[in-house]
Amino acid sequence: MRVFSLVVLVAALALLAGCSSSGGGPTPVGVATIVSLSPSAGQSLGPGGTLTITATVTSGSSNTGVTWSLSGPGTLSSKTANPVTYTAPSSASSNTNVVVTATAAASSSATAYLPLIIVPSVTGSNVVPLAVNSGPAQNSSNIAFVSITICEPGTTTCQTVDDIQVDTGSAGLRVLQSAIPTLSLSSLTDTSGNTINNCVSFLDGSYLWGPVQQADLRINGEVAGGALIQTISSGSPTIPSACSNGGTVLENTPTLLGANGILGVGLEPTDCIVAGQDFCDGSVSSTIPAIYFSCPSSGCASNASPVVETATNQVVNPIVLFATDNNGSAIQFAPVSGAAATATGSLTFGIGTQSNNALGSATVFTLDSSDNFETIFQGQSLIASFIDSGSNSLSFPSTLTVCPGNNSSFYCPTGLTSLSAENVAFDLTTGAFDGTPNTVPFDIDNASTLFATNGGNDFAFSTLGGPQGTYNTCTSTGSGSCSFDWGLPFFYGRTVFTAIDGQAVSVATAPWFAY
Amino acid sequence: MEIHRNNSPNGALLAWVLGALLVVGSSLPALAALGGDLSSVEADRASMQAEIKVTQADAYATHEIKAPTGTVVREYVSPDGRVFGVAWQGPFIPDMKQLLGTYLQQYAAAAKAQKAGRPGHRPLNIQEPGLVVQTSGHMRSYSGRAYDPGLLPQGVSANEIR
Repeated sequence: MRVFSLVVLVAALALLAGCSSSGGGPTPVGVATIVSLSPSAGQSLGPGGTLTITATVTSGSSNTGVTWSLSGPGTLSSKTANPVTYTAPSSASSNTNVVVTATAAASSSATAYLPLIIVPSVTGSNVVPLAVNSGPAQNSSNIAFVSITICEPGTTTCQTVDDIQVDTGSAGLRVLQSAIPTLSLSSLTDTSGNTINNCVSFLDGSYLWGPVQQADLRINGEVAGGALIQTISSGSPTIPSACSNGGTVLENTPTLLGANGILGVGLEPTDCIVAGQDFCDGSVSSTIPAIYFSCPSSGCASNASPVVETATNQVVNPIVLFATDNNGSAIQFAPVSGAAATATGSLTFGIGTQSNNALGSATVFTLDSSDNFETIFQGQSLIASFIDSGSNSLSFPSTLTVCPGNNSSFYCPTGLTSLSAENVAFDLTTGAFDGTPNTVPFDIDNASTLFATNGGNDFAFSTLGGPQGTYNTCTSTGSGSCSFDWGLPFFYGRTVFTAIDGQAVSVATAPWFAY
Repeated sequence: MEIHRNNSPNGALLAWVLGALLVVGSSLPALAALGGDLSSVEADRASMQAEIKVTQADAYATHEIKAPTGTVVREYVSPDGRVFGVAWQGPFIPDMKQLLGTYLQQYAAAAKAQKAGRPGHRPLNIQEPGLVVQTSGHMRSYSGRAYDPGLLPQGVSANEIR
């Protein structure tokens, strides 16, 4: 899939652009000229590094030549030779963006490009810093932020966006339209020229809405070329009621979202696949969930129905588009003791692909068909448990006192309470949660006290907890309160690996978590 | 997927009914489930294009609706025909307008209030005099329940809504 995405999308967008400029007339008869490149996925190079790039042209013409062009520093060995060699500049003081483009001699509208990044040192270029702080809303609690660079496809026209939340509980990049004002990104369209919009619903009933757009994403030395992302629409667009679904909060400002976007680096390759099942391409059921909507450029109708989208047209977990570090990631945070103004950590791409991302002695937790494992806690077998850097707290069913008023999604015990749970993997062979229990001690403190410490200027809380439903209601079939949501506090003082469904990774078949 | 229920006091009377079920009268009012009558259960089933299974216990009936997309909704109906609780689990959040009906505004307002203090995502826990809503999950695996404590039939614990 990774091999095809860049080329196919470029070709598709070119064809659609052609359709719209011809006023929706009949499609011209003939064989489209298509250029593809090898390597197809974006690469990083050190200073003076070289890369051989081969173009393949398929068309009805016998002319299979290409013309190369370069955006950014460095040199190409030739304008027309195929393959061509790109040589990076001999020194680089900071990450530098480069794009190499091949244009078919037979058709100037047939192009393919390869995004490159020149890094001062290749070592560690798969690592980006993470920070927990007040965030754009100025009142965050346990939101982990990263910076990423978003570029118009095939260009070095880019914008770096700070305060993007890192989320192991979802897949795909979602960025506020208001956070990328200098960029002009193309929306994904269908054959009628309608815009494909994406809908995301969160566990708390809040939701995101906006067009699926194409961008090159650059995260330190990693490049995800031609990635489909969701651009979260500003203002008050008409949103299909199937998406707003009763409408708690449309999170389309930094204050409402608590971030400028969400980087979903979770267990799945796209936002509509789970455990190899694609719910949006029509293969599971003819009933299509409210994830993708096709709407005129003038906007959606409130009664619009969701549409089928195949995996290559879905919002993608950018990691799977990386050249080599594409099988998962590791999030590491320094320990936090109670409440702190900030916390610092890192996001490392790839598992076992570099010297800096080995699994080591971490314990692997393979997952059931809903991407869950089991947590045993105070006599409960919580068989829909998961690790989620996008959740603000450790949330689980217990008899702890719930905070009063609007803080009732947090726990308020009278003082620091020491607890312990055991995590158990799902055994893919036996089909049962029968792995060796792994004990996790943790503490829960009074959330009202935590929020009030340091004059209310603390935003990282290792002991923040909250209720998930009601104690002792989980049944063996998974109905009732069956989740232990190991939110961001779980990451403090740990390294947590997330291996992506369908990607090649040693040790065990992905998806899995490990820590 | 066969789902076994073990919490029926007198052993379950099970019936799979496909298509129209228990519909009295010729029209289907667009009522939603919580607080509604039996016709609202059928409206939910139709909305979800789903199959339905009814389990009868002494104090209430459970109408289990399974949508083609895998999400299961259970609606708890008192002897006088009133839906006093709903629960769901599956890869997609069900239609909350349909499920909560007249309780929708209260739900949305309470959810907004919980987020207002601290942005971010976490399980919802609404505990108001006339409405309890609890949710959990992550992308492609959600669960939750909602009920009106005032509508619980005598002798029925809220914990049975799950």
